[in-house]
Amino acid sequence: MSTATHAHDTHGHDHAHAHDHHGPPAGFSRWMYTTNHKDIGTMYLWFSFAMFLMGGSMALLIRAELFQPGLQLVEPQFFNSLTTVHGLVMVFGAIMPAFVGFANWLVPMQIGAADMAFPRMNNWSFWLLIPAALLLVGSFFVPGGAAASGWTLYPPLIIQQGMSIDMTILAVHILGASSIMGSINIITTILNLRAPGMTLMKMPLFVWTWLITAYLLIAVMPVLAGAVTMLLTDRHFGTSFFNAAGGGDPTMFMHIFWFFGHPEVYIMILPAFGIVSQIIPAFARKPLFGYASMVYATSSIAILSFIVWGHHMFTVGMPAAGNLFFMYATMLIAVPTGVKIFNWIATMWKGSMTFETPMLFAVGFLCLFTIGGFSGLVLAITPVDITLHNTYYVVAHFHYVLVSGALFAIMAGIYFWLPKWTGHMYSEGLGKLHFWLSMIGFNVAFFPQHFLGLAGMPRRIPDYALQFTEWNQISTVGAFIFGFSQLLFLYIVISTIRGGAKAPDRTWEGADSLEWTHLPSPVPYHTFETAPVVK
Amino acid sequence: MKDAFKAVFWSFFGVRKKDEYEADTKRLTPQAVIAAGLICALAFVLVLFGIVKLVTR
Amino acid sequence: MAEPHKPTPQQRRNALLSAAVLAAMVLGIYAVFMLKVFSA
Ligand code: HEM
Ligand SMILES: [Cu+2]
Repeated sequence: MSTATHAHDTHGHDHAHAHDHHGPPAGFSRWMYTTNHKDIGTMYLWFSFAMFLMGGSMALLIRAELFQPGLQLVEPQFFNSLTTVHGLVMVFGAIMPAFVGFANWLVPMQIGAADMAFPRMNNWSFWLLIPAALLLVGSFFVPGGAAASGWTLYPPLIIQQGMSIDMTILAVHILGASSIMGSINIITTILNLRAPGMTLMKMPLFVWTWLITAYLLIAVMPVLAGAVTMLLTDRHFGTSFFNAAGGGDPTMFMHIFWFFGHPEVYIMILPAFGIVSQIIPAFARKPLFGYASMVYATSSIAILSFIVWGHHMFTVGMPAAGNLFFMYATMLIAVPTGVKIFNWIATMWKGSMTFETPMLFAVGFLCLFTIGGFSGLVLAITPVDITLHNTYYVVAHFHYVLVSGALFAIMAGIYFWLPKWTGHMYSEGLGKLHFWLSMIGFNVAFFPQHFLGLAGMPRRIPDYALQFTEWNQISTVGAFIFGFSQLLFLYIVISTIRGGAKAPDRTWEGADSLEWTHLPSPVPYHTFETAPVVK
Repeated sequence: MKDAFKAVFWSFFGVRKKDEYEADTKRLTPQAVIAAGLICALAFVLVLFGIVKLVTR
Repeated sequence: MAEPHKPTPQQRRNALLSAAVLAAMVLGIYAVFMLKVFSA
C-alpha cells in the first residue's frame, strides 16, 4: 500500500534501457503471437468493447420494440433471442473480458513482475474468445435463430430449440476454458512473481480482488461446464437430467446454474470493487480506509456467495425452510458488502477531493451500486420476491449492479489508467460530458424499470399492457442516450491513443501503486526486467 | 488458532481494528485463516439452518 | 537485452506447481460432478 511509495526508485533504469529493447514486431503477427501482457490486455479490452457495442445494439433493438405496446419491429421469437444473446454477450463477452484485460495490464505492473507467469497460455486464453464470440453471434444466422431461452439457459426451452443451442453450449464451454486458463495465470502470477518485499498485505486492492475472483472462477467454471454438458447430453445422447418427460427435473438445472450463477455475479463485481478501491484513495488523497478490512470482507463475500443461490428460485416451490435459509443468508451477505461502501465513504471523508472523470465514475459507481444493493435486499425478502420475480424490478436491480456497478468501474478504470497506458491525457471536458450523459441516460433508462416491475410488467416479453406505456417510453429514450454516448467514449479513447497532452509519469498525485511510482508514462513494452524492491 | 477464528469472525462483518489487524499479520498464517474461514462458513450455514428449523417448527 | 526478464528457476518451479494444483482442482471438480451425475 502506501509503503509502495517509499520503494526504491527504478525510473532511471527503465528509461536507460528503453532504447535497446526490441519493440513489438509490426502488423498482424504482433497481435497473433504476442505473449506480452500489455498487448494481451489491450486485445481483451478492445474485444470487450466490440462485444459491448454488439450487445448494446441488441439492447437498443429491445428498447425500440418496447417503446410502444404491441409488436412493431421484431418477431416475438427474435425478441427472445435478442434478450438471451444480449445477456450472454454482455456477461461473458463484455464485462468479464474487460476485467481480464485490466488484470493483464495491471497485475504484473502492480506486483512488480515482468509479465504473467504463463505468457503463451495467456495468448491462448485471449484467442479462444474469438471463436466463442463468432459462435454466439453467428447463431443468429442458423435455422431457428439464436438461443431464446434467456441467458440462464433454462430447460425445457433450451432442450427443444435448434442447432443454435449447440453453438451456444460450445461457446460457453470455450469461454469457460478461456476464463479458467486466465484465472490459473492470474493466481500463479500473484502467488509466485511478486517483487521482493511485495508481501500479500502490501498488494494493491485491485490485485487482491482479482486473486479472490480468480479462485471463484476456478471453483464455479467447472460447474457451469458440467451444467451445459448435461444439457448437451439431454439434447443429443438420450439422457433426461432435466427433461420431465423422461423422469428428469428442470429445477435441478436451476440449482446447478445458480450455484455457478451467484458466485458469477460476484466475479463480475469484485474486480470492480478493486478498481474503485484504487481510484477513490487517489482522488481523495488519502490511503484507503480499512485496507485490511477490505481484503477480509472481499474474502468472506467470496465464500458466502456459495450459499445464497436459492434466492433466484424462491418461486419454484422449495420447502419453506429452504426459502428461509436462502433469505437469511442473502440478507447477511449484504453486510460485508455494505461495510465496503462505508469504507469508501470513510476514505473520502475529509479528503482533499477533486473530481476528474475517473473519480466521477467511481462516485457514480458508489451511489448507483448502493441502489442496486438495496433493490437486491428487497428481492431477497422471499414473500416480496414472489411478486417481483421475473418482473422488470429484477431487470432494474441487476442493471444497477452490473451497468452502474461493474461497467461504471470499468469506465472509471479506463480513464484512470489510459494516461499510463498511452502516455497521453484524455480530454477532461469530453470525459466529463461522457460521464454525465451516461449517468443521466442510465438512470432515465433503468430507474423507471423499478416502477414497471412493481406495477407487474414481466421481463422478456415483447409486448405489454397499455398502462405501462409511459415509463417504457421514458426508459427507451434513456437507453438511447446511454447507448449513443458510448460512441463518444470510443472517440475519446481513440483520440487519446493517437495524441494529446503528455501525461506525467505519476498522472494522479494521490496514486501510489508501482505502475505510478516506478514506471514512466507511457509504460515501455517491457517493464520490471529487474524486479523493483518494495520496502 | 483462536486468533484465526477471531479474525475470520470480524471479516464476516467486514471490519477489523487496525492494531488488532497488525497483530493478526504477525501471528496468523494463511493456512490457519483459510481453515478457520471454511470452518466458520460451515458453522454459519449450520447456525442459519438451526434458526430456520426453529422458526418453521 | 531483447528478451524480457525471466522469472528465476525457483519462481518457475513454484509457478508450475501452483498451476498444476489449480488445474487439478478444476479437473477434479468437473470430474467428480460428471461422474456423480452420469453414474446413476
Ligand atoms: C447486496 C447484494 C445483493 C443482493 C441482496 C442481491 C439479491 C438478488 C436477488 C434476490 C435476485 C433474484 C431476483 C429474482 O429473480 O426474483 C437477484 C437477481 C440478480 N442479481 Fe442480485 N443481489 C445482490 C447483488 C448483486 C450483484 C453485485 C450483482 C452483479 C454484479 C447481481 C446480479 C444479479 C443478476 C444478474 C440477477 C438476475 C439474474 C436473472 O434472473 O437473470 N446482484 N439479486
Ligand atoms: Cu444471486
